[in-house]
Amino acid sequence: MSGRARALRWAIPLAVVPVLVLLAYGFRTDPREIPSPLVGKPVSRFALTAFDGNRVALESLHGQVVVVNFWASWCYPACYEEAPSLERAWQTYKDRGLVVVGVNFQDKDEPAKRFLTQFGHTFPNARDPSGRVSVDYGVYGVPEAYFIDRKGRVRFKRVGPVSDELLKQQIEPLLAEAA
Amino acid sequence: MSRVAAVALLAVVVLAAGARAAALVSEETVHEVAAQLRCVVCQSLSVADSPSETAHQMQAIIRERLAAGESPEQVKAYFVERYGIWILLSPPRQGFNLVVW
Repeated sequence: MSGRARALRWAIPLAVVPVLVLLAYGFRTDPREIPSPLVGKPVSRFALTAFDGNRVALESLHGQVVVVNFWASWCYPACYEEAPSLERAWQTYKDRGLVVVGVNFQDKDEPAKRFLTQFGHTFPNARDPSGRVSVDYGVYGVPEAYFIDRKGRVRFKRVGPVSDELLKQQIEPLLAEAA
Repeated sequence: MSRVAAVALLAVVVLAAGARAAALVSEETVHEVAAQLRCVVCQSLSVADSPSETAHQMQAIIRERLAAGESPEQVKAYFVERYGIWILLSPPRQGFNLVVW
């Protein structure tokens, strides 16, 4: 066998190595854990109409800590799991300056209203019929939650359901900050 | 009376300008931008190819921004600012992405 042919015999299996390394790296990362480029940036303002007919405008919440939660009635079980925690957090912290805002994502009116009744949500919840607010926040699925500080900057994004612990952990330091 | 006429004229001018701006956006340009953006709720489909409601809404946003005078590059930048370069079906040839290229 000539030297060239021998080199080629090794070159082919060796060429596979970088591909395997790349795949090994790629398959270990969670494709859903994409860091939001919005963290640290001023939040997109929005004004939507809530299910109860009231207006929900983000600019009127300046100086408060805001949790914007994107949800849908078809998002089972994740949205159903986190729903009681969101209401509990709102009840616990609303007097200290927290506002929870629910944004209904790609849903129908009737099941969405049933969902709100089922969990007895008392914080403002609005539809996003054109999807503009969802795209402005870089939402790619539900549930997702954005934690906004008193200065109106996105400080944390949660992909997937929130728990009592996570809400406490994220909300309390933000409430302690000055406006 | 003249005030009413002035308001009516202004309304006509505004409507005409709006219609003209909208007419200037070709569906081809909308499709071209949409084809480069990942549909956020689907796996590996572009905004142009996905039948989902989200993709339709993203197309509407692309159309609206182009009609407002943004370039295709500016429209893509708007999505990248919100979703990161993940939104681009073909990531830019820079940094770590070069390894893949």
